[in-house]
Amino acid sequence: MPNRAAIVSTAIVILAAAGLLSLYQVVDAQARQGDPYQIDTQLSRLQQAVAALPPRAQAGYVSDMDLSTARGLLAFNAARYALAPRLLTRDAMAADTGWVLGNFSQAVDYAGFGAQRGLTLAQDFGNGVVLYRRAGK
Amino acid sequence: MIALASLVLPIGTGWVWCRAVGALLAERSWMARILHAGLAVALGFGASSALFFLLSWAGIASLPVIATSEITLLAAGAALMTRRREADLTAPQRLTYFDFMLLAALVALMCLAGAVAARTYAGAPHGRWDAWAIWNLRARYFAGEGTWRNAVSPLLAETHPDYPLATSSLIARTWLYGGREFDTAVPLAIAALYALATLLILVGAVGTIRGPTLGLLAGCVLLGVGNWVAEIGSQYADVPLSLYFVGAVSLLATAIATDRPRGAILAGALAGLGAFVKNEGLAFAAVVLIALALTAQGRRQWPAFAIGLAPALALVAAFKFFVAPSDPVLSQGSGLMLSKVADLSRWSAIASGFASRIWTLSDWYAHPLLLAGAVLFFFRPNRETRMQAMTLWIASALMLAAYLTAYVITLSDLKWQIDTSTDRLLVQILPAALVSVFIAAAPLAVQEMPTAPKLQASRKAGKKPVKAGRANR
Repeated sequence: MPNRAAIVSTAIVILAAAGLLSLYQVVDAQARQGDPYQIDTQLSRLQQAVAALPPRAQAGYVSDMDLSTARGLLAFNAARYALAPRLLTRDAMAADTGWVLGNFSQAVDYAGFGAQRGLTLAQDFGNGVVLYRRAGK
Repeated sequence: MIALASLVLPIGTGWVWCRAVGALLAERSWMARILHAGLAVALGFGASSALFFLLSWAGIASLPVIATSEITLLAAGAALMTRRREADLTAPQRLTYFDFMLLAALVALMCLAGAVAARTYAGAPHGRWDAWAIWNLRARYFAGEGTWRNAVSPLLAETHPDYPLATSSLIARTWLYGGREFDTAVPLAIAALYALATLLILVGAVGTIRGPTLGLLAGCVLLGVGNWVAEIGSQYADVPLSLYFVGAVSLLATAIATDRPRGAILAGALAGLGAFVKNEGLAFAAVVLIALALTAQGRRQWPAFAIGLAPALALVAAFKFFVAPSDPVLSQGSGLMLSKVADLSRWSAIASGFASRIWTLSDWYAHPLLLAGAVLFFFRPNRETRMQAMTLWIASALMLAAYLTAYVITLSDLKWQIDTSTDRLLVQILPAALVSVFIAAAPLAVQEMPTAPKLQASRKAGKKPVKAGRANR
């Protein structure tokens, strides 16, 4: 006749295992959909721009994506992560080195977009990624 | 590979310093060794992250300096450890056949939890949002050449540059050993080790005080909690914080049970190091000090806990006052804070948010309230065990109150704050709360344990049953 320690222990192990298996199914389904933040995609997309910046550079940020939206915030934060250890600031004017990253969701007149904000197009890396220089820097 | 191998240094350092400060009895039991292993990770990782931060602040955080400092710390601890004479050993303790079965089950559950973490990593190798947008991002700044101050730049406004730096610092230190390649395996491995250490401390502490059966069961209950396990692969800082909470609480439980204040010194050190992981650690240190002051058993440990707490708290204070930007919550003014405190609708929203998040901690059948409740039902607390757990219960309750207060005065939209962070707060406190519950449980008398040949023999011989917890002291 099993005693109470055996009963409660067996039950706990089985229930914990069931909980873990259920969690595994959820996580597995998420993994099959891939990285929801597409960080690796952003890392490779921004690779050339990162290489063009000095290792300790600060850079400002401009984009056609509104930073108050989830999409815009994700794009900015992913770019910030990709540029690290260089510092990417939200404000194009805040960075002290004069570099500004342009991160676009679609092709636009990059030079004109920058000119409206006092920025000069320094290099276009394709795929919506450009580097600007701020006037006077 | 070199980066991951370098983690042996802080773990080894933690191992020798746990013994050097005399916080643990010289172990001869499985459970004491398990506890020691978990504490070694907690202390070693905490010390290593603090060291790396201080060297960065001093502007000398190069690999040779870091390696030399860590090796010196290890050697000093080893020298102190060998000079310390250990008179009182833990009682030699053999696991019963049943305990071995439970241990095997726990290992199987650990493998499942590891599979969950691995799958989470496969889906999001840089971690979930807060991991890559805060902790791993700041680790990249820390690991860059001459860029560590970016991690605390006011320009990172929405990335919380005022948050403490322990996890980022440890990841950066390990990346440095690996040649600054920003290998995503490093944050994952560190997250896994934090989680493993949390589990080991829970099992080891409960096992040492209340016997292996309850210790192993406590580990099984923790692994059944979906939210806690899911956070490992997410690479957030909440599981690391849960390590310091459970470490401090476990050592206090041990200190109270054995009346050995040196354990409380290390408990204080771990609580202080927790404050270097996340801001909630500061609240935890404060509530433990209060909880200790409220009980007679706690008051005996209070001075030792405070002594252990002081150095790490000084480090956190230095970080807060001289390095980090000011905390925006504190800059909102006392008038606004008081009006929020007086707003009953906020309290009501927070209470209902907490209740619903507690319910969704895991699937209902593996819920810690259900499983821990079953343990308390079958291993019914007695007066002595309840008294020993009292200080821990008070600390857990006060910590919950501190969380509620933090929500009341938050700057962010309250609903958003509750929806996005309550889960993680519960993850932080869960292992420590489990210690307080399992310490309250009374171990079964030996004749009630499942079949073990030796015990059966002693039963037939008519020997008086011995409580497992006492046998371990």
